[in-house]
Amino acid sequence: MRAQDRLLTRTLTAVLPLVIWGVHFFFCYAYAAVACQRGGDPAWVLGAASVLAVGAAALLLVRSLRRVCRQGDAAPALHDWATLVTAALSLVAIVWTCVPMLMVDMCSGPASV
Amino acid sequence: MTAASDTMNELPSSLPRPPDEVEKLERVWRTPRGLAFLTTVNNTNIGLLYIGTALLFFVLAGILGLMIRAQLAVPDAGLLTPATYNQVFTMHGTVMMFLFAIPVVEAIAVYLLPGMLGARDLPFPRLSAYAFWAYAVGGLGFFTSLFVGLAPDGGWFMYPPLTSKEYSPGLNADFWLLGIGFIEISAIAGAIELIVGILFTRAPGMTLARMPVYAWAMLVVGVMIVFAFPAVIAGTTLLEMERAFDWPFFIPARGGDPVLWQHLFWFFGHPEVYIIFLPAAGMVSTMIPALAGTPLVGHRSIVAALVVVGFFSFALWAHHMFTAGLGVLETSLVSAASMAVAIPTGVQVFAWLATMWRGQVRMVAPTLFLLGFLFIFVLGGLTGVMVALLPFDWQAHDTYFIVAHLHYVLIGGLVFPMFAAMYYWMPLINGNKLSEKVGRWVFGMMFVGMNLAFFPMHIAGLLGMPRRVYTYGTEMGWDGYNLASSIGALILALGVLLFIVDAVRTLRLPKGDAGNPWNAATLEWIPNEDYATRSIPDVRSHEPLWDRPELMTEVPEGRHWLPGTVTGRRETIITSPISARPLYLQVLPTDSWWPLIAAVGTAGFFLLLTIQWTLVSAACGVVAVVAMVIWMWQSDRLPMQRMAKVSDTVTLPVGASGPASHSWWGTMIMLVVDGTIFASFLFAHIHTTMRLDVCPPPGSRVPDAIWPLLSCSLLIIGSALIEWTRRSDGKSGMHRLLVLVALACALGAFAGDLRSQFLAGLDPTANAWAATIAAMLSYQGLHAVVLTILAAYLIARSWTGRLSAVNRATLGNCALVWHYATLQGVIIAVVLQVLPKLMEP
Repeated sequence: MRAQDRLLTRTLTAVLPLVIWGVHFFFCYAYAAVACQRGGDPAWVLGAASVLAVGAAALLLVRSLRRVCRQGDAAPALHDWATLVTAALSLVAIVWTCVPMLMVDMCSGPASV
Repeated sequence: MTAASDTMNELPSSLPRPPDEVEKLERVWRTPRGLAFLTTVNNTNIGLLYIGTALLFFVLAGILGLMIRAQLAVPDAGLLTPATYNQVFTMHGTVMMFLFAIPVVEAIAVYLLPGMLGARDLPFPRLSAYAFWAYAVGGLGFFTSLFVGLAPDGGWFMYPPLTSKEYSPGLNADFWLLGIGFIEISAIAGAIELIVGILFTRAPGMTLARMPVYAWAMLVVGVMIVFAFPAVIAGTTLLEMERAFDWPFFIPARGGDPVLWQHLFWFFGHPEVYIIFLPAAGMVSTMIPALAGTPLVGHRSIVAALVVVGFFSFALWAHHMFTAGLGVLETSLVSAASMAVAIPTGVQVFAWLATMWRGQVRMVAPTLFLLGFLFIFVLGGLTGVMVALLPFDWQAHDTYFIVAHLHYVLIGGLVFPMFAAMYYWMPLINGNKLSEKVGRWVFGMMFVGMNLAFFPMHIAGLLGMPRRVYTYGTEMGWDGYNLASSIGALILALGVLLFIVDAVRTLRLPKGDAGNPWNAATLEWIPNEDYATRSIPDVRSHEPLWDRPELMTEVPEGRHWLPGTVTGRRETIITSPISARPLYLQVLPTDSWWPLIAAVGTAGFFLLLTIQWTLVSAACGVVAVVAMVIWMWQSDRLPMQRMAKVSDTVTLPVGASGPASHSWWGTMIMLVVDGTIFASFLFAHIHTTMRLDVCPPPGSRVPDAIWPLLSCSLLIIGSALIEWTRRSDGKSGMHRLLVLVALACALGAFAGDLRSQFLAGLDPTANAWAATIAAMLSYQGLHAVVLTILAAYLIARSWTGRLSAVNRATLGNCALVWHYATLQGVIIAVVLQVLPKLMEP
């Protein structure tokens, strides 16, 4: 695959933060649906999954930020910059996705204040 | 290898060029005339036909829109009967979305990309031709259903139970399901062409970092199509099977769920909005720098934003279902994602504004449409954030507020950028610009008309006017808003009409010399003919024509890559996907009737199946398959020479196989589509299983475990034999025997699946759980048929000496399909055994 410039590997590293966002999002959606239907409480599992996802996205953001900063004044390569932007937006999106979990009773409706 | 071209002052090919070089190039690439024009596969020609047909559907669907507005202009109008009105609004939405919006973005890409990437042509020209003809023939056939009262009437998203056999017993819904379902296949074919073309046919030196943003947008869109469209193909297949065979996927009384349709439809339907918008955004990112005379601000961030939007858009499907009774947390998650997508979209909008701010914007017609786009699209985006809020959506759902929002998004997000693009790129067609003076009128009428037509709908919606009503009473207080909307629609239509008149006038002008009329930076403005540019430009920066304006003369002089035809046939250079290093010379297929015949056969199969002309339909299907087989047979030929000199110093191999080959990547992408369709069926099975109190439901049972074990073993043995064949250099006779045994294994495995379900008493009409199993098995059966055709094909090629060590691409690609079918069979077997156990309390 060298002739293919390691296309799949490099693409995956650039979009890895988005993959984490996607896995977290769809896992939360599906797990909440299943757990609520079966009368369980999804809070702990979703909380753990969210901590993991936020941690992983933050780690990727720090790593990509350091790589861009190491390049000094030179304009960062597209791959590095794209990884940084996707990591930043993914982190924001994951945190934003977690907000409803704090605001609503997961299986019954808006939390009573 | 590229040392010569890396030296800034040296060009790949030196002068003088051989005297007959251009003549040979012209002869090889000449567009056939007269009736034979129908055989053309050159993407530039196909692109123009594609754009023209998509615009025809835009006009036709626009006329339907005017009929809607005429009916609603005054209260209690009787211009259209309720039944006709249902067909008209359904066809308006369906045709606009499926026959105009998606095709036109692919059409523009098919036309523009070869020039913009510096390719002679995209890698699968016959696939593009097939995709176009299938769409054109099928689309026109589908549209004519309106004239015989058989047009679909269940709304453009065709929700069951309204579209079930019980409530829509006629053929109308079938026309939608079969007609639109197969037009999606055409869109996917186009996407495969675009993805492989963008990754592998870029000019040497055009790294991904130097690739135009438009190509980036189309790359993202191609990938989105691959993952989004299978969901609706699976959905339409399930609904059609429910209607035809009474398999109750969506009937709650028998364990089905109408919400399942909504999930499948919108998992396609929402990404589709971005599939339509991102190409437009890519065009905007290409036009604004040229019109402002300055590089795009935040180019890399825009590329990243395109990718992020591509991902986020898949999480928004359920925001069309906020009132469908989904869980509170699930809808809240989707609501959050719907708001999050505004960030990467906003990145693009601010980058465009900053580019205009930094440059000196020329206030010409394309600029006006771009400004109109920004105004309208931002308004549509803002109302999008409003309806992303659950409490607001609960109030506004299914009202004219939504109609207003979606028209602001789609007209702003696609139609205005498309008109800007037509003003901007029209000189590529025959060297003439559209009239600037008329353009201002066209813009003015379209902009005023659009806002007058759709802004009042927000208010009518907030006042409670539901969408899809054929009339309303004056006591509702909606009269003024509706009259204004109707007048606005008429003004908008007059603007489009004026554009058409000017476009016809411009296209009839004698061919002129376009030059680079907007002083653009992208390669499509280099003078070109049927063979694209005389030589393939050596690209050294992101704005090649700004940094090296001499390309405008050097390339036509033949001083760059591949200045003639080396093999005496159509060819282009395949480059590596990231760094754009030349890898090999690809010989391209030439003009042919087969893609057209295959397309007509495919369209005939689906459309005639709708009206239950089963035998004629089957005959059309056979014609399609035979035409495709002949077309494939011609595609994998022994190269006439092993090596080809593509510049003074670089010699490349001719053709490739395995992962180095463009056809391998095309096959892989097709299999991803295949896998996603299967995943949709699997999702349907899991969804219906989750709704059961006990699994399997009363009266059904799971087959004994011995059967899936047997089936999986046979599938794996078959795949191993095919892999052995692929890797061995054995005798042809051995190849044929191995393929035959592998086929016997695959068919035996499928027979085992059927037998086991027969013994277990599977009755697909009894309940949705059984129906989803039958659907998955049917899909595996389709693959058994495909493997049979492939096996026969491989044996025939082996028999005629076409599976030699030097042309193994066919075998490699067939092996990929074979392994996929094995994997799918194993997954079915495992899921059917394991899922009921997981469901045990």
